[in-house]
Amino acid sequence: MSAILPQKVLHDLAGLWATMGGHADSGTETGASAGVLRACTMTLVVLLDDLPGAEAAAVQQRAGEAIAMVMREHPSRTIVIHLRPSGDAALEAHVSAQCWMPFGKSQQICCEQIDITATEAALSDVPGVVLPLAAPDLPLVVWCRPARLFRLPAFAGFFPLAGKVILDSAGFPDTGAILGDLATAIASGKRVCDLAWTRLTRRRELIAQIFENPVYLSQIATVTDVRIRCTGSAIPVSAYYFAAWLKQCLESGGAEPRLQFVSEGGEGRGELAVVEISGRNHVEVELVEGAVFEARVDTLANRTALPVFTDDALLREELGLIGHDPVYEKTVGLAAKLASGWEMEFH
Amino acid sequence: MLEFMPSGNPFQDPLRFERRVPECTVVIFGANGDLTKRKLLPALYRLAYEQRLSPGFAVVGISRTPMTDERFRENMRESVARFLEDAPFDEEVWTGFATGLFYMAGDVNDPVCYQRLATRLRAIEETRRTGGNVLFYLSTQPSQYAAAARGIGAAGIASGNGWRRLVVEKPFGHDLKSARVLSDALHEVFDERDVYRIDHYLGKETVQNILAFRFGNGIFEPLWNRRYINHVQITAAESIGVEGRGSYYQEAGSLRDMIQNHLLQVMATIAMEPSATFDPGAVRDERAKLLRSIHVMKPDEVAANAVAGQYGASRVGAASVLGFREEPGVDPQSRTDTYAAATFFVENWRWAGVPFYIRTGKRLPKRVSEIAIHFNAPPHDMFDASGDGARPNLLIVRIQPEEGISLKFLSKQPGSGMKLRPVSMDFNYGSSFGGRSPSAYETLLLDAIAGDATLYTRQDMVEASWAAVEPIAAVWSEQKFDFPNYPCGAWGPEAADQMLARRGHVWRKP
Ligand SMILES: NC(=O)c1ccc[n+]([C@@H]2O[C@H](COP(=O)([O-])OP(=O)(O)OC[C@H]3O[C@@H](n4cnc5c(N)ncnc54)[C@H](OP(=O)(O)O)[C@@H]3O)[C@@H](O)[C@H]2O)c1
Repeated sequence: MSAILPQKVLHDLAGLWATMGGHADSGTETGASAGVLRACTMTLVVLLDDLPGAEAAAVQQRAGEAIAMVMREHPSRTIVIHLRPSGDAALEAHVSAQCWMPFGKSQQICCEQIDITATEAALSDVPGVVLPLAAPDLPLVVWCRPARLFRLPAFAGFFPLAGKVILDSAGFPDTGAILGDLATAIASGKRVCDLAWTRLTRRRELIAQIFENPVYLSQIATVTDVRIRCTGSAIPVSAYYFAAWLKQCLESGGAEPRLQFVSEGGEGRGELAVVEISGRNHVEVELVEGAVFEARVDTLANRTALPVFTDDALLREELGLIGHDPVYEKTVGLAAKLASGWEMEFH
Repeated sequence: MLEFMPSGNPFQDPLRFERRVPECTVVIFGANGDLTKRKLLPALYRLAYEQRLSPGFAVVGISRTPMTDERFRENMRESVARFLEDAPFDEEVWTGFATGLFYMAGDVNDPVCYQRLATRLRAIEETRRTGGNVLFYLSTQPSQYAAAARGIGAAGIASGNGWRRLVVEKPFGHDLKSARVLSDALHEVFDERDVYRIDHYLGKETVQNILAFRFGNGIFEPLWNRRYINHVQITAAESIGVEGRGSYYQEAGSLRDMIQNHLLQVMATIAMEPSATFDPGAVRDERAKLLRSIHVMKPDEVAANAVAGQYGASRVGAASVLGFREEPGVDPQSRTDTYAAATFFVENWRWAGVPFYIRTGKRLPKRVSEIAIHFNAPPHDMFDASGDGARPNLLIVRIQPEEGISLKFLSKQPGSGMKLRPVSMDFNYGSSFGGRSPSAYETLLLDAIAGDATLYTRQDMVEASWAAVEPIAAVWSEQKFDFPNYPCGAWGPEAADQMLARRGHVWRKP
């Protein structure tokens, strides 16, 4: 990594803005040129695999698109680390700008992006390069796109820099291990979040909405059973999260529910399909298709189309929450326990 | 703001879940009017688009013009598509939203109208499961507010299964006495806590941001007093004229239309003491206290501290622009102020002796609303600065069009010698927070449905601000003005400049 000189990168950045006309007008009323407005509210560090092949390229492209979308709500200095499995220790760093025209406005807003290529073996050197390049006095968030990197000892160097680390455990093969690592990180005071949990926000909200009804709310203590039905051959991480969250909420409402995971059949990585909460009332939330959910309470049924979970929507939600997230922090420990527990086989 | 949601629900996650508002029906009196088309329906549609409203949400529009539900939906569709700000129109969302729109032809002065409304509300409560919650929105001529409230009361729909609230549009009376009469009439039917007097300025993000800026940061508040602040200028300028609302405007004038409500509320937000908590009662108490501390002018103080203006015909750019008296619907002898400026003082320890200059007008050079806080110059001038270099620090809070905050300070000009030049440090709301800010009506409607009155005006505030402007209005009503006294496209009459010059100050040209 020694080949990358932070001063040179910062100098290139300054040059970029000068070319874009950003600094020529710094004394004007709005501090902006007629065409371009520079914006930065945080540093976003993105770790990406830089692998050969069409599939890897598609993943990279999706990540790039997500970053571009996220910038509109959270304009940031983005530092993208492209990690190659092998090769030269440090290949290059280059700077560019992401610009867009807000709806109905005449001025472009631009954010800066620094792309660095490195090898995975040099991962432990990356934090040292990132530190001087981060925008001063603003939060720094690390999006660790390949969840496996989070488990490498070299990743530890990011924690002192990061106000938050974002990963996505959904695709990770060993659910118990990744949940365990997340729970340990959180127990030691680190701020980590998991997009697999973020994907559940709207579905959790549906449950919360049902219990806004004072009649159902007053019956929480009567809940005896929670059934989580999933597709696929193994219990997905989302099911552990949902089960852990429900159990904790119900217990704080005075219930002592039994928890059961039920297989709906199917191969490969499954999905959380139906959540059932039974007591004096019977509540079910089912994923019908795509992002359409049906909420049933006793004989009443209501369908809702939730927004599709794109990477950028999930990231936007997480970047909007830089502080502690007490609900997640409370849930992840129990989710990890459930995932490692013997009784949580499929029934 | 209020608690996020009624507590007790263990499934709530306030950090992540959107604020949900309960199901309800919004009844709009005057639904055929300008405000409904331009502001209310676009705001409600946008809230629906963002899934902030509950599925059973319904609107009942009432005006005299006969119309079917279908026709009303079609009219509203056109208006929403046309007036939606900073957001695209989505046909699919509209279709769902429109199923909850209903219309009833009726006259607010006719008791039968309320009986029919009662039947309609019962049916909607049943079919859309609104739980009986109703928000009545008075968007007719102000002279009909009392009749509408009484009609609602007489028909027994001011109470029901759910909550019932009343939103009232400005003006809240035309002077202190009529404001009290109006309040008394509303209070015959609704408790003060259920009366929501809307002041859309308070719903603007930047005005709310003033509170965050002042009380969320430690560095400004110590400077926020007479020791460091020299004076404050509050400007709300419009480049347009009365745009077909001449007959309404003629009755109001800028002092009543803008200063009595919006701009005094902005001043209160800038100058109020911090409240102990951010709950509606506490914030509104502090605002009200500040308004009550405004020095009430004696008649002989008005001439030196208030200026009325009216625009005359002129050429702006290459186009001829009509003077106010030539506008359709306006009396050719009209004495209405289309421009008003006033100097207010706050009688408390923090602000004693600091002038708050407020100005507003139509047909000024550009549309801009801002607050400029002029700080005192350094006690000793070691750079012998003059001209531009002599300008003291200035903090500008821009409310519109580009919401943001700028701090002006002096910097050394590059090169040899010690020449100072003012530079600007800027924060632009839109670029830092990307996304889209809700319009003032979106914020306020959602708050009213949620029962959060923080950004609404209370009766004591209305009375305090009438007390502050009434002496000016009283003197002006007796005065002969040589109108028009400023041409379209100018920054108001000369007398307004003289008002500041007396204290050695100059209006900022935003
Ligand atoms: N427009 C704005 O931007 C704005 C801004 C701030 C405050 N306001 C306030 O908001 C209120 C409404 O303003 P607006 O501009 O929408 O007024 P508007 O355009 O005059 O609309 C009022 C509507 O009320 C209906 N109406 C009149 N008399 C009625 C009656 N006796 N019974 C039932 N409906 C009646 C009329 O429709 P029909 O002929 O079909 O009955 C009319 O379209 C006013 O108090 C105004 O001061 C307006």
